[in-house]
Amino acid sequence: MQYKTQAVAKPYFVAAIGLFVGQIIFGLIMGMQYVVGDFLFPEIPFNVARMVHTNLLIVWLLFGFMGAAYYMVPEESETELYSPKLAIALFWIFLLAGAATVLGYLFVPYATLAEMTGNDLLATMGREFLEQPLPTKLGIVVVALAFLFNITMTVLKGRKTAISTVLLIGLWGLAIFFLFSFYNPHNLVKDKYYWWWVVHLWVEGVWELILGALLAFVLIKVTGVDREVIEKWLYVIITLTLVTGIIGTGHHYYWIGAPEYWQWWGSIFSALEPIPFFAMTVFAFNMVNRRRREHPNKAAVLWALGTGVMAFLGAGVWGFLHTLAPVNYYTHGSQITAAHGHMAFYGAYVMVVLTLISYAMPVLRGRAANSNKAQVVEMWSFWLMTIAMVFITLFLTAAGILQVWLQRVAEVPMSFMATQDQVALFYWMREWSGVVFFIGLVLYIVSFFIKGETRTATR
Amino acid sequence: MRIERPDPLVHAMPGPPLAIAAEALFLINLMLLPVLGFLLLCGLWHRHRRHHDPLVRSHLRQTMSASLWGGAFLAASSLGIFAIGGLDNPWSWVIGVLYFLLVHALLILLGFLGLVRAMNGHDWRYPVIGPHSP
Repeated sequence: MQYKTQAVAKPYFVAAIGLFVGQIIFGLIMGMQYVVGDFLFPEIPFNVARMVHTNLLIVWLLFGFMGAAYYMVPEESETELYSPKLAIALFWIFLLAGAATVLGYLFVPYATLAEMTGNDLLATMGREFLEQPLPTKLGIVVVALAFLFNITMTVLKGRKTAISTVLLIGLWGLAIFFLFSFYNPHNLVKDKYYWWWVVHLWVEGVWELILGALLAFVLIKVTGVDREVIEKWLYVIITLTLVTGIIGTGHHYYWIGAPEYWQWWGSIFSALEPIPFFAMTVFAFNMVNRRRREHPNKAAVLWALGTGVMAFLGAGVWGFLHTLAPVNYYTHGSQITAAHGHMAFYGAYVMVVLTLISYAMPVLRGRAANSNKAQVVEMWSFWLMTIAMVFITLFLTAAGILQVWLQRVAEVPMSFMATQDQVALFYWMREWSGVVFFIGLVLYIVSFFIKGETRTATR
Repeated sequence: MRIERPDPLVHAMPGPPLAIAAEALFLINLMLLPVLGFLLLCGLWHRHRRHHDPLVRSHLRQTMSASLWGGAFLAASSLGIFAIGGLDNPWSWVIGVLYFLLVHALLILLGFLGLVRAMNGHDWRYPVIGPHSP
C-alpha cells in the first residue's frame, strides 16, 4: 500500500461484502415466495423481503464505491487522504443507519415506520427503491456530503488525473441526483418523472462514470498500459455514456403520462445506450491484450474482463431487448425487466466493485496478490456467480416472454396471478440458480481466508 | 515483402486500419445497421481481398465468412423454430427469442475479440464459423 490512509477502505469493503450476503439471502427468500407464496409469512412478507433485497443492494454498492474512492484517490492524487478520521466516523454512521433502517423494515410495519420517522412532515417514503425513512435519507445526504468533502479536498491538494476527475464527477452526480428523492409531488406523473431522475440518472448516468473510473484504475495497475492510452478510452466512454444516457431517460416516460414525443426520444437514445458498454468491453479486452506486465493478481484481471462482458450483455443487450417503445408496450414491467435488472446490476456494478476489492484487498493486507490457491477459489466463485446469473437472467427472460404472451397478447388474456402459476417452473429454476449464486458468494468469502505463498508483480 | 507495424506501446491502435474496419463493420452489421453494415463489409472485402498485408486479408476473410455463416445460422434456425412451432404458439416465442438473443450475443462477443485482435495487429479466427488459414 503506497499511502497508509488507504487503509480506511478496508472496513468499507468488509461491510460491502457482508451486506451483499444479506442481499442474496433476501433474494433467495423472495425467490422462494414466488413459488411458495406463504414461505416465511407473516414474519417476512414479500414486500418487505423485496425492499430489503433492493435497498441492501444499493447500500452495499455505495459502501463499495466509497471504499473504492478511499483506496483510489490517495494513489491517484499522490497524497494522503484529507481526513482518515472523518472517513472512519462516516463508516460507522452509515453502517449503523443502514442497519437500523433494515431492522425497521423487518420489525415495524411500514406504515407505522413512516409515522414514527416523520413522513408526515415531508412525505418521501413508499416509492420503489426510495423506501428509506426520512432520517435515513437525510443521513445519506450528510454522509455523502462529508464523504465528498473528504475526497474532493484530497484531490484538490494533490495530483489531478482524468480518473480522479471522472470519479469525482460521478460521485458528486450521485449525491446531487439523490436530492430528487426529497421531491414527491402529489401529481403521480410528476412523481414518477422525477423519481427516474434518481433511479435512471444514477444507474444509466453518473454510476457509469464511477464504473469507468474504477475499471480504468484497475486496468492501469494490472496491465501497465500507459495512462494516456487508458485516459483516452475513458473520455470516449464517459462522453458516450452521457450523450446516450441522459436523454435515454425517456424510455421510462412512455406510459406514465408524459408527452408522446418521449416514445421517439426514449427509443432512439436508449437504443444507443449499449454503445458505451460496448466501448467498455473493447477497452477492457484491449488493455489486457496489450499488457506490459503479468500481474500476479489474475483474479482481479478476470473480474475486470468479466465486468466488461457482463455489463454489455446485461445493460446493453438485455436493455435493448425491451427498450423500443413498440416492444415495451407489451413487455413493460414484466419479468423481462427483472431479467435485465439482475444481469445489468450484476455485470456493471457488482462486478466492478468486486474487481476493485479483488485488486485492493491483497494490497491492503500487505501483498500484491493472494496465494495461487486462494485465487483459484476466487476464480471458481467468479464462474459460479457469473454462470448462475446468466441462468437467472435466461429463466426470468423465458418467464417474461411467456408472461407477456399469456397476460397481454393471447386472445383471452389471463389475470396476473393466473399467469404467475403458469410460469412457476421458470421461477423454480431461477431459485436453484440463485442457490448456485449463493454458493459462489460463499466461496468468494472463503477465498479471503485461504493462506499460501504470495507473489509480487513482475514486469 | 516486409510490413512495418507501428509500435504497440506508443500507438493507441497499432493494427492495420483495414483490418479494424472489417471487424468494426462485422459488429455494425450485428448491432447498429444490419444489412447495410454487411453490404459495406462486402464492398471492403471485394476491394481489398488481395491486399498485400496478410493480416488485412485474414481479417477480411474471417469477417466475411463469419457474417455469412453466422447470419445464415441465426436467421435459418430462428425461422425454423417459428416454422415448426407456429407464430401462435407462446413456446415458439420463448425458444425463438432466447435462441436469437444467445446466438446474436455470442456473435457480438466473438466480434469484440476480433476487433481487439485487429486493433492490436494480431490475427484472429472465428471459432467454428471462421475459415482456417490457407
